[in-house]
Amino acid sequence: MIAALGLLLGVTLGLVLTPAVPAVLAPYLPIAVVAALDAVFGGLRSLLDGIFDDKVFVVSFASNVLVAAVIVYLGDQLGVGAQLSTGVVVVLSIRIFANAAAIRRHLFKA
Amino acid sequence: MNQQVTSVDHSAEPPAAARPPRAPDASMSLLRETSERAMDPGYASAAARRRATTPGGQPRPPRSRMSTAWVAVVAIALGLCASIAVITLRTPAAPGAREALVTEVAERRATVTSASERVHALRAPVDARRDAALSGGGDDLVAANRTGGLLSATSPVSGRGLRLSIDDAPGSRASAPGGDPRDATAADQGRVLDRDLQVVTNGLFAAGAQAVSVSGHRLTSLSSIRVAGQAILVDYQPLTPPYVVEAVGDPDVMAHDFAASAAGAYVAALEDAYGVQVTSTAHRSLQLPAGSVETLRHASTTQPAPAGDDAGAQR
Repeated sequence: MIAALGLLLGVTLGLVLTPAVPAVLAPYLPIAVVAALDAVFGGLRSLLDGIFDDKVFVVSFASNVLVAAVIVYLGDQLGVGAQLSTGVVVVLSIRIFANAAAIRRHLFKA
Repeated sequence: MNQQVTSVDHSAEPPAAARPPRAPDASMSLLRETSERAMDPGYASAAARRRATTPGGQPRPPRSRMSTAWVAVVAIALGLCASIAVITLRTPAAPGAREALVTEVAERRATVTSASERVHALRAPVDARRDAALSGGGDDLVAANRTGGLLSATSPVSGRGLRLSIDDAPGSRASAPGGDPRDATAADQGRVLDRDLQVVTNGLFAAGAQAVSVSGHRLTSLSSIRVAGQAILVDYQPLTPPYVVEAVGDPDVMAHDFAASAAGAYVAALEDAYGVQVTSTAHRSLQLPAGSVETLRHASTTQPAPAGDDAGAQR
């Protein structure tokens, strides 16, 4: 629970402060956001499954975002940044869909 | 979610007793993995660990205070990063992008300018050395080289000449910024076109000019005068009006011959019909820079070549 509260607090802080992002990091933002969404959906599903764990949630969130950024960085260095980003987005969105379906089954029993 | 496509033909593979049966959807394991293990396996293993440490389904022991604080801090940081990322992505393209491009263009242009200045500076010693090397072959070679350099515009030229200043008709430039070049209004008719500059420079050459430059760009036999958008490009360098055409030669003869030629009539028509402003002045000393960098395109030895003043080593 502390993780969800902390996340909410962080989001609010970001909305209030709106700091500028250095241009170097700009290419990694879209993938990082998708990875964060994936972690949030995974956490939501585990909450409904009754196995939510603060530490796992935070660690999976951070590692998802970091790995996504590293993949994009690697792709940029190898000249296949766009293709790798597409691959990452495809995999993450399949996971998001699957988690969303599980959540739906939990909530509506359908 | 769990059922996959199972219409794989098994008749080709005899079932081997030794190895485990091949999953019918083995070729789709990536999709399976992604969709079946969508939730982070960490949750399941953490739950299993809890069950193992607290048998009997008792409520788990509270986490240490330090660990909870860490989780909270990292969660706040992650939330902050996520919302910043989303805010940044939602704002339309950074307004600084255009300025950054403009700065980069200016920087690159300065690099080109300094590099070409260096080329021009290095040309004099190169010419001197070449003349020294050719002097053994007689004065003919040096003279032919000089002529070739003049004609191919690889050496700078100075001397008497004409200076023509050609400018858009008054009022036509007011509509220039942001205007659509496709709708030719009455005001646009007074603008100087690439065609006009082509006629003028060709007319000057026909009237006896030895060297011609347009706004500081020396024309060579390979120069181009084109238009892109609303700007006139000479050798792909955009120019701004007024366009200053300088021609080295006898100013009196050139002025007379130019006025009598078709190009002169064309310019007079431009002035009368469209209000294009053309002023012509004679100058005692015009300095024209060298044009393009010398490139060796054709070479032949002097011995078997027929003696004459065609310079074999010039392009």
